[in-house]
Amino acid sequence: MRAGPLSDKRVMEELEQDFVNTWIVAKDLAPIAAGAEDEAVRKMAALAESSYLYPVDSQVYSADGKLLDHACANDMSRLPDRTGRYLELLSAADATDKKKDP
Amino acid sequence: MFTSAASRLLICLFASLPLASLASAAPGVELRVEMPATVRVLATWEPCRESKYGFFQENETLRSVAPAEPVAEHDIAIAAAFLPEEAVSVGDVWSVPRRAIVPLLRQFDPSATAVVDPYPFESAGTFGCLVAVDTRHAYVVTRSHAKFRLGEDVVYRPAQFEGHWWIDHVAKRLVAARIELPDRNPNVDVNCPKEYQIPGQEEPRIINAADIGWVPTMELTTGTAPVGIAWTESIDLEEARVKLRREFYEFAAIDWLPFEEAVLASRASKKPLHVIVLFGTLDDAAC
Repeated sequence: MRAGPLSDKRVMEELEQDFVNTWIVAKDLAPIAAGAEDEAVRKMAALAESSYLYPVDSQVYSADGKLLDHACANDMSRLPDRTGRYLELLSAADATDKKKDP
Repeated sequence: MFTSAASRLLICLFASLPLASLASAAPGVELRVEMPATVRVLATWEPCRESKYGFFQENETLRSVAPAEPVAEHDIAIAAAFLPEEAVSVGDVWSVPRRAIVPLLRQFDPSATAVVDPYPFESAGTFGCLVAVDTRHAYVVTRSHAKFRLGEDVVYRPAQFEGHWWIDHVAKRLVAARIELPDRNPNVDVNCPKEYQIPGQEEPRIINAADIGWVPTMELTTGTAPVGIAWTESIDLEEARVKLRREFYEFAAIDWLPFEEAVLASRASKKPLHVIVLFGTLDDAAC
């Protein structure tokens, strides 16, 4: 995935302009879900962990913490157009507040 | 000597230049090391303490890792190869010849190579960045990717090697260096053959299995790092790390925030949140 969709200029441009981006090792989610100071962070960590698809899962959330779509890298690797699938994944955020802004 | 008219012209020209232009026009520092003639390098390599699937503990080769040469004398040329040919300024990044790291890493194991396949999209080898200078000293950070083939069949891929180099650029002397596997969990990826019983089949099969784990220490050191230097110009170490990361991965150009910070930033900006959850790490070779 690092060589494919994540290094594609269209995907990178969309991620930079329209998203807040983060990555995390799956095993680090549980401690955050249990101990983070902020409730929204705890909830997000718990949801990210319970939704996680091994080994690499790309997840898209609305700003208020709803999981909009996610895709497992192993599944994507079997597709002929992995970049297309990644852009589709990101388009799950089209209906969010941010995208409604003029 | 300038004529008064020429001086006025120069003053006008400088007055019209933005500060950044003046800064970038400042002469860089030449980084050379010629002494000591030989450097004594100590190698330390501990076995993995924690892994996802336990291969590091099951496999005899992985259980018993230790430096092939705990102490070695190298010609100073081995350190000189990491430094840029041209003068550089603080924050500048340069490419180091790919094989420069290899003779040093062979203190760990003779199989060390700067080729990192099966991930050919990653830049191999080493990049360097000048982090700080004063009138005498320079502090350089390097990042190297490399791998080992341990025993007959174990491919051992450290996340990266981060090099810290302290140089007396006036005396052209290497003061100290430390090349280390960053201490984060996980920081090593391995592939090795493993017997696997496929449900419904009588005979177990040998598969090429992967595991990732945490190796507390894998480092090469020489000299004693100086303390208390009042650098006259410097950038944050983290800024240098980002610059080096971007030499290895295109996607590192994106601004990746720590998880907690990202959740809060998403909520505050009302921008959607893109999270990659993975069992290894995204921006080094331990995945």
